[in-house]
Amino acid sequence: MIEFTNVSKVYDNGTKALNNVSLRVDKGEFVFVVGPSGAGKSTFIKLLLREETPTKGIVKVNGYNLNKIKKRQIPQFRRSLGVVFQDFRLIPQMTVYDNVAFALRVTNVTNRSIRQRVPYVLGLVGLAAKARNYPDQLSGGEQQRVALARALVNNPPLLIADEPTGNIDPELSLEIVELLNEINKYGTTVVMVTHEHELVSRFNRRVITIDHGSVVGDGSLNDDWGDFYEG
Amino acid sequence: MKGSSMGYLLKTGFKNVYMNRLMSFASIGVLVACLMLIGSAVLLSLNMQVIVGAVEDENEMVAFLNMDVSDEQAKQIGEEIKNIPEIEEYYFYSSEEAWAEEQKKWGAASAMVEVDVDGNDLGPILPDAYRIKLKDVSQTTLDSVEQQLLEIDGIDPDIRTPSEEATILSDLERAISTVGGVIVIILAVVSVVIIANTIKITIFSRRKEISIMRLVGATNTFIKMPFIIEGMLIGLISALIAFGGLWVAYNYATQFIMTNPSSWLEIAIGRLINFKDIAHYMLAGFAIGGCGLGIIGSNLFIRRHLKV
Repeated sequence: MIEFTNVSKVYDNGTKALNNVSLRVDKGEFVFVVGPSGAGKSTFIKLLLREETPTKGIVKVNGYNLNKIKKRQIPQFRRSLGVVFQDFRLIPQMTVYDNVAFALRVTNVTNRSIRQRVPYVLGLVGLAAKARNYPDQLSGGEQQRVALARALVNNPPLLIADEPTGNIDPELSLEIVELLNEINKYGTTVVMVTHEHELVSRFNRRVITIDHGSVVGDGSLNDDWGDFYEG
Repeated sequence: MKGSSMGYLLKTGFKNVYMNRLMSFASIGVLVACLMLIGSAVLLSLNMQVIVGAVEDENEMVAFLNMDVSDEQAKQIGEEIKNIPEIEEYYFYSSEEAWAEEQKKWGAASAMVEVDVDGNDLGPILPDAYRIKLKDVSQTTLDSVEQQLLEIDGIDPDIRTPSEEATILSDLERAISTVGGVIVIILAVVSVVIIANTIKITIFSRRKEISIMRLVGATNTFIKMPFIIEGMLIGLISALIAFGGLWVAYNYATQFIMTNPSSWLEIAIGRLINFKDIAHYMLAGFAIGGCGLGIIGSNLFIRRHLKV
């Protein structure tokens, strides 16, 4: 599903963001990626989304070799991913329904399938009743669930969540991660980037720890991640 | 591209024009001015051509031969005239033909000059001549042909040239096309820049949407399309307004000329182009021109502002 082979990324301004990272995430896995700010988590996401290309090494996602992918293949590749962000990135002028439908509209999906698919996904995240509301009428947790519905509406095999709980009250954060957990059970691979120690500790899942651009830990939380933070 | 997404793209394009209506209004205003000027220049130039043609038909150069030129010499002179490159056609106009035409024009009065007071035949009193049609009636051509005719032996130095009007008209026509062309180019550039800025503002106000579109895998064409449609729509609306405006203005202008005819325009009045006859060309031209400028304008910034 995801394969990084000796990946390094140095930005034009000389910042060394990732240094010789190799890792592998298989189909159906649920992975937390953790580390302090500035560790290289954002770069990791950008490489996954093909917003950036590595300076060295090979990035493969969903069967696409992102080093060799042609520009006009990028849209096709991105349709195989679902992405949610810390800031939700909803369009304020659109209703909840339209925000979710938007992801389908821009990818040449027929109106008929849009009418079938959108209510289904909204039901999945528990927002069927709020379809006609606008984003600013919803709480942070609800907005993130709309974003999650939008990410899932294409039925992607891989879901990437970049700090999805960063702007949400702690009690609602748990709900979001539980939802991701639920989605994972249906077979979707989930990669969640976070720095919320508390949240990760509640789920016994694989944790990849990045610091100073390198993978410093990979395993279940109870191994070494806790020490890293407290130390 | 499927029908449903085409509908979505069109709707977004229309919405862009409306949401950004102040700038759209400015673009349409400038584009209408530009198209109307182009249209006026075209109409004026077409009518000038018609008028110049009319004046040209009425006028030709006439080179009289000296009275003592024999038929043989006259033929020789004809050969030499043939060699002047600016001449389109020429024909020999004999003394007898000239006489017959004079008689027709003046009727009985002309009979009196045929004989002197004693009744003696005076013989031919009108010279033989060559009537010459030129390829155009600009002053330079006239001067050059006159010069060349004067060099031919046996031609009377008093060469009759087309009236001043034709020359002035043809110079005027050229001046109008040149000045009109320059103004049109400037205005076209201005409208492209204004349309481009209008689209830039739309792109800026929708940048969040665009970034999301990219994330969920919209193709570049799909992302660009609403902005191109926006530009096209601005062009099309402008074309329609300019077309209607020009039609009204043109009819008003021709009406005015017909009710206030000046002497030299009289010949042309019957020939003025009727707007109805060229309306479909005008409309097609405007639509293509408007859409073209709109598309060029929208593409100008799309490339720079919509990177993958």
